[in-house]
Parts: sequence; C-alpha cells; structure tokens
Amino acid sequence: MKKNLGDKIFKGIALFSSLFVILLVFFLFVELLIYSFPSIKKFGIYFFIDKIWDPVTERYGALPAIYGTIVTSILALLIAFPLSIGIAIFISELAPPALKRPLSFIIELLGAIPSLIYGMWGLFSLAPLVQLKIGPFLQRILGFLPFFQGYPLGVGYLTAGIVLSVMIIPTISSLSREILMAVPIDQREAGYALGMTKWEVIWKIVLGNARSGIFAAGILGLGRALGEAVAVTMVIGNFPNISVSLFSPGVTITSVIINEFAEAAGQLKISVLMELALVLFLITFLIMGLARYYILKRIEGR
Amino acid sequence: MDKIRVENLNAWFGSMQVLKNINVSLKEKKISAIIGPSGCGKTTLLRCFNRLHELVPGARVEGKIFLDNTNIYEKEVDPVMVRRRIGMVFQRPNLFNHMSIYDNVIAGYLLNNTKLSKERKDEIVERSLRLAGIWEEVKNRLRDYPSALSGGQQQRVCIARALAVEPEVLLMDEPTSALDPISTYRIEETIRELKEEVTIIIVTHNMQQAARVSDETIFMYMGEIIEVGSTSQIFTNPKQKLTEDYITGKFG
Repeated sequence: MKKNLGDKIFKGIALFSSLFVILLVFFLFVELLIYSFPSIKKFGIYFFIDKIWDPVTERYGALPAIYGTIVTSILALLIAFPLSIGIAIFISELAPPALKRPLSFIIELLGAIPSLIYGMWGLFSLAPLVQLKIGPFLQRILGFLPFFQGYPLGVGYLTAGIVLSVMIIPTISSLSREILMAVPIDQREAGYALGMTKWEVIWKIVLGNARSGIFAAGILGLGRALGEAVAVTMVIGNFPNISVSLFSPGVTITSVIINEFAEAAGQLKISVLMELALVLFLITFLIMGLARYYILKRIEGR
Repeated sequence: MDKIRVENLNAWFGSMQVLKNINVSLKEKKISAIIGPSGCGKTTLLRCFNRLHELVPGARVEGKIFLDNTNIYEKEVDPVMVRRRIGMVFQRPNLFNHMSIYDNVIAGYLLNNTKLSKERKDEIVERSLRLAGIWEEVKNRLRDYPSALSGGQQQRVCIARALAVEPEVLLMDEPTSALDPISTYRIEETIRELKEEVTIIIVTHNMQQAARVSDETIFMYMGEIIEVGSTSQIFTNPKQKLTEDYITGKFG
C-alpha cells in the first residue's frame, strides 16, 4: 500500500515536470502572439514582404531581418558542416588514442566560450581580415558570382556567417563524433571482412550508418545559428538591407531586436519586435520539427 | 590439397599471448571445425586467417599463413586483397543497417568502383541468396532493410553477402550461437551444401555441431593446438587425453 503511494507520487512529479515544459513552450507562444497582435493587425502580410524599416513613419518590414537571419545561418552551416564532419571523423576514426580526448575536450571548450567574445573576435580580428584579405581574394577568384559583388566592408553577411560557423562547429562536431563512435564495431568489421579499405569503411559504412544522426546534428547547429544574437549583432553591420552580395551589411531578426528593444517607444514598436521574435520562434520550430519528422521517418523506414 | 598452411603463428592482445606456435594445414573444399573451451584462442586463430585480428588496438601477429603458397603476412601483401579472397561470417548477424537486403548482398561489389550492369547484379544477388538457402524467403522483399528479417534470416543473408564476392575460403565464427535451433539447422544444412563451392573453416562452441558438419576437427586449448584429425577420429578415437576429456564433457 505504502509503496504504491510512493509510485503514484513519483509518477505525479514526473508527469508534472514533462507537462510543465510543454505548457511553458505553449504559453511562450501564446504570449508572443498576444503581444504581436497590434503589429499583425496593422501590417498583416506586408510585414513579411516589406523591405522598409522606418520608425519615423512607423513603417516596419521584416523582410531584411528574415533574409539576413536565413542567409547568415545557412552560410554558417555550409562552412561549419563539412568542417565538423571532418573533425568528427578525425577524432572518432583516425586520431591516435592519446589525441582523442584532448581534441574533443578543446572542441567542447570552444562551445563554452560566451558569444560576446566571438563577437569581439569577429569585429576586431575577422572583420578587417574579411575587408582586406578574404574579401578581395574571394572577389578575385569568384567575383563573377553575384554573391561576391561590391566592395567588402568588413562587417556584413559573410563575416557574420563565418563567426556563426565557428560558434556552431562545437555543437555539430561533438554530436557527430558521438554518433560516429556509436556505430557498432561489428558494422566496421563486416566492412573490413568484405575487403573494404579504411576509407570505404568510413565513407560507406560508418557515415552511412550515422547519416540521419549527422543530419540531425547539422540541424541542431542551424538552430543555434538562427537564434544567435550578440555575436551576430556585432558583425552584421546593422543596416536594413537585402543584398545577394555576401559583402553587404545587413540585419538579422536577433540583431534588430537587440538593437531596438532598449529604446523601443510606443506600443506598436514593441509589438513589431514581438512579432519578429514570433517569426524567429516559428522558423526554428519549423526547421527542428521538419528535421525530427525526417529522422523519425528514416528510423521507422528501416 | 592444402588450401591454407599455418606456420609458427603467434598472436597477442597487448602483452597477453593468445596463440602459441600454431602449425596446421587446412584442406581445400573441406569443412574444418575449430573447437575448444572459451578463451582458447579459436576465434583469434580464425581472425588471423583474414588479418582481422591486427585491427584491434594493441593486437599483434607473428608467423606465416600461406594461402595457396603465398604468405599473407608478407610485408608487400595488402590485407584488403586477402580479405577479398577470404570471406567471413560473424557470431552475430552484422548486415549493414543502412542498406537494403539487396544492397547488402552486393556490398562487396559496391567498393573500389566496380561497375556492374543491373542484370549482372540481379544475377549475383539471386545466386548468392540461393547458395545461402534464403532466396525463397526474401525474394519479394529485397528492398527491405535487414531489421525486417529474423536473426536466422539475417545470418543467412550475411552468408550470402560473404559468398557474393566468390571467396575461396569462408570463415565462420560461431555462426549459429545467437540463433534458435531451427535457424541453426538451416544454416548447418547450408554449410554442408557450400562445401562444393568453398573451403570452410568454422569455429564452434558446440561439439555436436562440429561433429555434424565438419570433415576435419582442430582442438585447441590455452592458445595451442592439441590435436588435429578427421572429425570421426577426433570424436571416436582421440589420441590426446585432453581432447578426450573435452569431448566427453569433463571440462569446457
């Protein structure tokens, strides 16, 4: 009888804890929705297609911010993903055992550095480098592409993308490493016993086995990049703009919120920023949800 | 005809010697069983035949193994080439989880950019699955993933995968120890039929199995070969006291 009661209490606590998280997410969403209502009512769909951001006439378009967020995050993923896979393969498959631990440790430390520090590095070291070396170099060899037109200012999409990529490498690489290391030995031995070379075993067997997990790691990294605020604000240039050229300055959802929240006067302005937050919330939610769905489908398909 | 000849083979895990001065010959197109108590080194010996032992960190091998008069431990021999001639079936089915049954069977050909026509692939897959006695059961579900099969079926697809590349020797490491009696029976049947095609070396814990399927039996104890002989001789008239004690169940 007594034991039964304990079980019930424990079950209650566990149930409450998990419900609490779900409720928290739900109320967060509802709260954002309520606050953004004036903005939704005033701008409607134009909020998403208007490029103009003018506090004086109270005309607010979110397109530059949405565009900037997506461009910088995808750029970050494009840079960070292959590097992270390389790091993960090196640590799990190739590095001598004495090197594995210190390497993983250092990479995990990278993830523990506050984003402000990455922002400072981006602004003081990387931005001049982009302006004087990386930018001109890219222009020389890839200048025919629309992405590398114009004059590199130092701050802008490219710099923000690079800073973000460094910030998400620890996330993607340490997750991928764990996933690679979790591929059973017997899968590798099966490959070797069939006469595969080490590279064939790594590429076709280990990565093949781990692909949905690695995909998920990439998506988690992307999620982190989408939501990153401080570092991006420091290097994005903060100019409401939509440009294909990666050298251009721009804004992201997070940078707009950070820059304008403190001095947001009037209900409409606050509501606009709330709607931006809502958009970010939905974008991340959607991407994570799609990734989850895709992975689940994969696993069940087996 | 001897297919494999082992000369003065020693093997270690770190500082622990697991094989001591092994000398033995294995006949072509015969089934040889390696028996002995747990930890006697029988699996290690098997894994020396396709140079898999040395992949374990800290593991080391010394000595010679001749496959048709070529020493596979010669410096210039590429272990990858050895493994293409000597197939292996493991204790537990280890089909590639992320590949369909069809792709698993053909996996040995997906490597080193071997290009095969669709017809040729279909042919290889069917022939191998038939050889392994599993074609009828899986022919309509070749695009399924291995997890849709039972353990016994998976193990027979593993045999098909090993046979697909037409190895000269097939190593089997306790291939039925994780399976139920019916699957075991089917696989033993398969093994006996395969004798026409390849030289088979099977490690087994199960003495009845050795007696049922093999032509020759090797008895190992504490990293050494104690006795080698025809299976009927080993089981009816062992020369060594140790062999007799083991097969009569006094230890092991």
